[in-house]
Amino acid sequence: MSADLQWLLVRKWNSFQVKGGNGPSFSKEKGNLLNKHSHKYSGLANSKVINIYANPEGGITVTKVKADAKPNQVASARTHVNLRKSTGPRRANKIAAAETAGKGYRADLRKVAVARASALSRAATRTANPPKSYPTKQRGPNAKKATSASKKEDDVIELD
Amino acid sequence: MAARPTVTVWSASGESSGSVPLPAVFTAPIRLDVVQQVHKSIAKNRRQAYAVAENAGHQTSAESWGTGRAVARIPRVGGGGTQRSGQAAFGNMCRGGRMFAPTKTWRKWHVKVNQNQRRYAVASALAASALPSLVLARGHRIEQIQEVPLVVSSSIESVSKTKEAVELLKATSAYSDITKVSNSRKLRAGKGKMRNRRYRQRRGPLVVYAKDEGLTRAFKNVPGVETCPVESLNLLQLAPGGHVGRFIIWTEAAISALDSVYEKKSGFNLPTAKISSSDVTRLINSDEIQSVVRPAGPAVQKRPFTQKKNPLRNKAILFRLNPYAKTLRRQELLRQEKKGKGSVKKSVPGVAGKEFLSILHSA
Repeated sequence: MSADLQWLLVRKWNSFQVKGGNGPSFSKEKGNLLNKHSHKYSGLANSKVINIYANPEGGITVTKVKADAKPNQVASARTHVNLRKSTGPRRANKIAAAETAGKGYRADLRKVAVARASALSRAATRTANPPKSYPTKQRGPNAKKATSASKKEDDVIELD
Repeated sequence: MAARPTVTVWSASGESSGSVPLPAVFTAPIRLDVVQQVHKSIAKNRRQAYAVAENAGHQTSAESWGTGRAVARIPRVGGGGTQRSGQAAFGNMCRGGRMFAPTKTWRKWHVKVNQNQRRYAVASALAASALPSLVLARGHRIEQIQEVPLVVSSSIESVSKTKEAVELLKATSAYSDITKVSNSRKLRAGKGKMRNRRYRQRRGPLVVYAKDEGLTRAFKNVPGVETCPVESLNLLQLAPGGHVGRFIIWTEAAISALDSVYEKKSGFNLPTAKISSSDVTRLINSDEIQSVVRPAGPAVQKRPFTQKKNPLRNKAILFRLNPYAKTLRRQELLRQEKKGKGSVKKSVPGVAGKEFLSILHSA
């Protein structure tokens, strides 16, 4: 069964699609780099699918379909490339590009693969070091109120 | 002819133990329209008859008052002393009257579907169950299993304990689909709760067996799992909701019996695909097509984002669109130039032509 025909079968209805009103329709299956409901990005109806996702160890995993996979294989048809947590964004992007375009796999997905890898590593650094939050400096009457309130609290503590 | 594809047989402990040739049904064309239509009709055959009471709205001795009482001539309840007396009755427009066209239990509840169509739909649904993408698209969690269709050795037909059945599902990595079912269990909305349909949940795998030696009882209490003998495959189980791609676990005996099951169906030939290759890219790039198409011309660069010029104002654009406009415009300018020079001398009536004069004088 060709990918074209499979797309026709899953296009109208599948359990991953997210139709939200008038906007574009999305899809949340694995291997859909843009999470967009279209043949090109579909993780279901393509013979060569690449999935880039965050693994539980904090790194990035790239999953691809083996070249010699039989059409009815599922788990055994896939290979995984695990990037360590310490892998930097530039190297992760390079690997994403190499896995799509560099090996004659899916050159058309190069840009979105790099974008996804980049977004994942950015998210990982963000969770590792959340941006510092500084207390907002208060001005005018508010500042006076704040200082007086804190003074009162201090008094109470002293009393105790 | 390529070798017939095979599927691996997995032992009850989850190791591969041989293989069986893939039955021919799995190459049947997948016709969503056929499956949906047949499913829609078959699903109607399990309906329970319902109707309003035969005498509803007629349990009164109402009669029309006739004309002359300045009220509508609808039958009215006789007597006095209650609110009801004098009220209209019987009609579908009356409060307390019967409904329009009261429903009857002898409504046509069943829908006949041609046998060949039913068989076609089942074949389609089976073929879809052998494609990982379609099984995934139905929502089954099959990412961890090795192959689709999942074939397990026939020893599981004699499994009689649910514990063993669960172990088997875990060994073949099919248990994540059961987890999905368990998590999906919700209290049903509405009156169905009190009509033995208290919970609703997703569908899990369908176990197809050749001979039941305890298997059905073992799997009965595993959430979402259904069992079915290979001789009586049912579209309602193969394509729940009309959506193809049910996750099916076959026993080895069941999948090897499938070919003979289809041979036994007299008058039914397995449907075959109309075209052998449906890969559009491959078709376009094939020698047969590439040898007859015209070679590609030079690339035309379209510039969609340049500013659009108004041909009514911009002369260059106008002349490109309508070359005659240039001539028209030139003539118009000449005419105006002539006009500007003042009154043009009226041409002096000329002398008649020589020939004319000679003919005139000769007479």
